Amino acid sequence: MDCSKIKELLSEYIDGTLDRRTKALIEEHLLTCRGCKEELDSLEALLKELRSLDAVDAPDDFLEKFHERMEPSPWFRRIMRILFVPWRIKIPLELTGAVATVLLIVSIIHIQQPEREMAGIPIGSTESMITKKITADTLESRLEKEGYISEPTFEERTAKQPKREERTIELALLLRTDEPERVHAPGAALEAAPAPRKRGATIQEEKTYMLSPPRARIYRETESNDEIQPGKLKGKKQSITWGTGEVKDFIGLIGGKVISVEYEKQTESPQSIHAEIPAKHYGAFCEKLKHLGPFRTPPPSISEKDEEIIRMRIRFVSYLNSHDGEFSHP
Amino acid sequence: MKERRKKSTSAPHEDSALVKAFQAGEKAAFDRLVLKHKDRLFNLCYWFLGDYQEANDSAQEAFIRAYRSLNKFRSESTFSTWLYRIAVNTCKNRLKSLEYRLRKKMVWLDGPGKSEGSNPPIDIEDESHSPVIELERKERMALIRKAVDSLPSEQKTVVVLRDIDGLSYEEIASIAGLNLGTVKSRLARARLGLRKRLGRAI
Repeated sequence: MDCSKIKELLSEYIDGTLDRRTKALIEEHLLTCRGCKEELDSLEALLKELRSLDAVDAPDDFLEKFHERMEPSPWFRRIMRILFVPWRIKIPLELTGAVATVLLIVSIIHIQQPEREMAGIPIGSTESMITKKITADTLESRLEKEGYISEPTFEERTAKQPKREERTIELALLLRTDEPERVHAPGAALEAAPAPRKRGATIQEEKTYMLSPPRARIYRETESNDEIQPGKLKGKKQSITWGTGEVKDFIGLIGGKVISVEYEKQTESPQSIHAEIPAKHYGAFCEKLKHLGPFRTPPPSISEKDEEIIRMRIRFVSYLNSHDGEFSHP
Repeated sequence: MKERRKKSTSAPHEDSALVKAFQAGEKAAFDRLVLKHKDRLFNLCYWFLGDYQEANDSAQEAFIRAYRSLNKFRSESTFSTWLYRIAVNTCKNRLKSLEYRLRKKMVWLDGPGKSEGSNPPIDIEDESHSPVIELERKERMALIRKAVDSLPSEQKTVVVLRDIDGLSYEEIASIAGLNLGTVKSRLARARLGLRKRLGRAI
């Protein structure tokens, strides 16, 4: 018998299922054939390994699970269990209705959530959010009508104020212009001393306000095309601009609005300021203006019943030409 | 351990008494049969399918089918042979199922070392051994399992029944519905295949 045949029979040989004759032949062969002997050894090792494998037992709940599967319509029972366990508590009919309504609302809100997310509305308390929005909308629309709406440009805002009282208080402020370098000192000699400080401060303020974007922007927008931007004013033309700067600052401070600033074409000097100021600060505003220069005519006093906002036009008048309103170039 | 188990399940007279009781209407007798045969059957399914969860499902299914057809059982074979036959068929069908084959393909794509399906829980029987030995044992088991798993279905059946479960050729022939000659030749081929696959690992 050749080796290949022997090897085929080794499996049976190990199992002891060969007849006596074949078995003897194989044993005789194995005595001399090393290859076949090795084959036998490795086969035996394999079987030994397989026999010694750990047994894998069924899980402990096997029988229980078996019964579960054997139940009639088990799927039905399982669904019943899932749906109705929380409902085992007996709820009175009225409460059931309330519970159902609540669940309905909750589910609707839950469904709405992705939509709201897309709309960019934060998921907070939905009702309060909605109410707020509604209120905001109504308020906005109302404000728009009234002309109080905050628009991106200052001009638009000011353009929508037709309902305001049209009466404009005109004031003429006398400013010295003969000494451009010198800070224009108010008429009173008392204020001569603080003048230099003021100049420095004011010029700085001027610069500040020119540099600060929001204000500068606002003011720029109010100028007409003919007018020159504040940024361009420099040198001796600062003689009056310092005053306007201060005025503007003060207007801003009291919560008023500068509507426009008129500049003289040739000299690029400010000529007048149109502004709206709150009535309550009217007095203070006039006092402030007085610091800059005397009024030609005293500012009128306003009655209390006047509307909140007062329109004012402050003209800057050259000190030298006090008898007329024109500014004369030195 | 296997010897012990074999003894516990090999009492055929006990089985036939329970079957008779069941057929007489005592349905609870089946529980006794389940408890007696479940572990061995489970082990068979595990080595056949190579996966703990699959084995569980198959074993359950086998018992359910047995329960449903036990009234028709006429003792042409022993109860265990009959039960095993059901189990082997169940496992074979499961192997053939498209889902199973797809899952198997997916496993192999990952690479043999990666996902090996579900594994049996830690064996508490061998507490006496050190953790190192335990680990080795587990690794060995995994290797063999993979090797067995890679055999063709026909070869796998015989080698599991013979070398893992320890059944006789005749029993195997009866369970698998084969003649002895076929059992022998398939077994020889299966063992050779395993040896090749395991190589020097054993």
